[in-house]
Amino acid sequence: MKASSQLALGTAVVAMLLYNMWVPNGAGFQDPFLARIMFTHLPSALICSFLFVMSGWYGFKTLKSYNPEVAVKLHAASELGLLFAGFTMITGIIFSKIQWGEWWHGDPRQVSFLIVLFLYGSLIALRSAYADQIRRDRNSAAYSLALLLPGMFLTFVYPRLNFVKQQTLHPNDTIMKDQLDIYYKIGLYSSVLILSFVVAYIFKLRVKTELQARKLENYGNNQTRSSNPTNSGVVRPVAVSQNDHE
Amino acid sequence: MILQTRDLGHRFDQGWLFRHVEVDLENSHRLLIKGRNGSGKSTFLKCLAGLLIPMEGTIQVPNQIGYAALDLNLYPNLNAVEHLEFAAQLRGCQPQTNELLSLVGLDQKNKKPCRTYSTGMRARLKLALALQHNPDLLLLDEPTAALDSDGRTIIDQIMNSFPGAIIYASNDGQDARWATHAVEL
Amino acid sequence: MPSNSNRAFSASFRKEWICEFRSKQGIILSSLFGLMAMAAVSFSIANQTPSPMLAGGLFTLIILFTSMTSVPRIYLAEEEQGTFDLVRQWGNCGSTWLGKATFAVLHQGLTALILGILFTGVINLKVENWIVYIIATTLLGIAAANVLSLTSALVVTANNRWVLATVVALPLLFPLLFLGIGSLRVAFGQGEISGAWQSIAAIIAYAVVPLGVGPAIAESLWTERRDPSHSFKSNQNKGGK
Repeated sequence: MKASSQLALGTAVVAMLLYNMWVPNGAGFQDPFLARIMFTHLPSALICSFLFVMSGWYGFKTLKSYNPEVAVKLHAASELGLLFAGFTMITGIIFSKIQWGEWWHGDPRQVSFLIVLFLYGSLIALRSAYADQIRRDRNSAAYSLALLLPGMFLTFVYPRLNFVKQQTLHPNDTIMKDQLDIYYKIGLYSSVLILSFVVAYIFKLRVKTELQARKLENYGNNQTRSSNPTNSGVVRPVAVSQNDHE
Repeated sequence: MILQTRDLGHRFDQGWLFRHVEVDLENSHRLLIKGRNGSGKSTFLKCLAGLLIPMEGTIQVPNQIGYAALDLNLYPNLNAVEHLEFAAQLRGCQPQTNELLSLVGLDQKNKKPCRTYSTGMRARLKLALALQHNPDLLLLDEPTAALDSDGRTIIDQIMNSFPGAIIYASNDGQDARWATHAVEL
Repeated sequence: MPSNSNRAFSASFRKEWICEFRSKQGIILSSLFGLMAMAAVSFSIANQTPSPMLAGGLFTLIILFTSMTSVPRIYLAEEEQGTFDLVRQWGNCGSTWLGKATFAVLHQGLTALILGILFTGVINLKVENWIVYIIATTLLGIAAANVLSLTSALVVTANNRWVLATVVALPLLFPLLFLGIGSLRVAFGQGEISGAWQSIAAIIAYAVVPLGVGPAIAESLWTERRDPSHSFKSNQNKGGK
């Protein structure tokens, strides 16, 4: 990324933060200032879900035909996904404490998102269980693909089940029912847009560093363990005559 | 050409076991892999057998490969006949139970599970399993290590009469007599 | 399915059947764990009457944990006893996986059904809809077996594979917990019957998907060769460019 692009992105982030501070307080909240939490909470949840689908896609591509670069993208997507799932969780917990009076309210949406967090955590646990790079990449790829089903279920289907809707305090259709005023709409959409650019930037950076790390690892391992001088060059069999056996 | 490797290399965490191995093997060749303990003989055979992905290089192998190794285990609760039948069904070939068991000198009426077998009997059964689907290439890791004199005679017969190519790893000086080619890792 | 794959599938199933019934370890352990979990639930509930939702949740947990103790063993034992290379060497890994998964389905479906019948005896709650109860119970066992078959196939050669098998399976099993509650609470007399059928349909989908993708995943991960001609190229260094 060019310096000018980095500067533009940094300026956009600062402008976003200033705008988010400037918008009027929200109505109907225990702490009206807290309404701003949606500028982080909702974009994080959206980005996390998107990264989830991305890691599944890269998983599919890795299984179809192994390419280390795609596998690195899969790992970058799952790491960033875990990070943003964490942001969503933390902002949700803060909201829960101030709005509903408890850090952990046991709300079905809170629980289901905690499981999404576990999905990412277990993907990273699986990845770290393989020393062999190719096996690590291919097994993580298969798992990330398998995670798509429960991930999509927990994010999109479960919150809309009737018995869950009856129990949850979590707002489900604020955007669908157009319940946001113009200030919050602008704040939310711009946050989604700018954070997406930030994520794309970090993603590219992560892929680059991981590829460099692998290159370095391969360079470090370029030393042969054997003291056999033939191992430094090409090793070819030699024909053996029957006299050699005697 | 029955087997060809180009620039083949494999490493574990500590470093490269072998690199730049280039082998061209014709039918009827007998290639002996030599090397001290830990030099990568078994790993090389596993790469050829398709049980390990090599870190670098290319391998061209025939479709049918037979592989027998000391560290390959058998199902403790299945007997020899059941092993051969199970393997044949997975491979889609005839079990050839009687022929193979008599070839490797195992009793066909022995219905005891493999957990009761001696190391030598297991080595013979592994050899039978490796030969079952009439492979074009036979990979043997320490073929004579657990065998008695009768067992060595069987290996001797196989080495002399097997129509395809054989690659075997051994540290036993006597085993070198079958080799038409040798490579040191 | 080609006839060769059919033969491989039935051979794999038969092998599991023979090995399991000769050692009997898995069946005994799984049954014992299920009974102990049931006793623990019975002990913790004491004489209280749990709500239908709580009873559904508790019983689904019993099924899931019972499956988690026995299904991974079918796969991990191959690597533990050093026979995994045999399976990979003999080929048809997808069919082998399917044979193992079918054995797990049969075992867990039956275990869940038996545990379901026993569960009605230890809780102070009447089953209002036996059809929903039996179907949901059996399907939960089957779906759990399939999910665990899929995740176990991924960790066969991993470090700490026994712990990892449960760690990677649990998040995938959570949706089954919700679906189990959704269907069993109706069987215990709470909620609309249509909700139960919806949950059961989702459990069926959850059971079928792993069976659909499992053979392809096992074929891809267990076979270290790349293409059908058995000639392959490999170069990890290209990751570094």
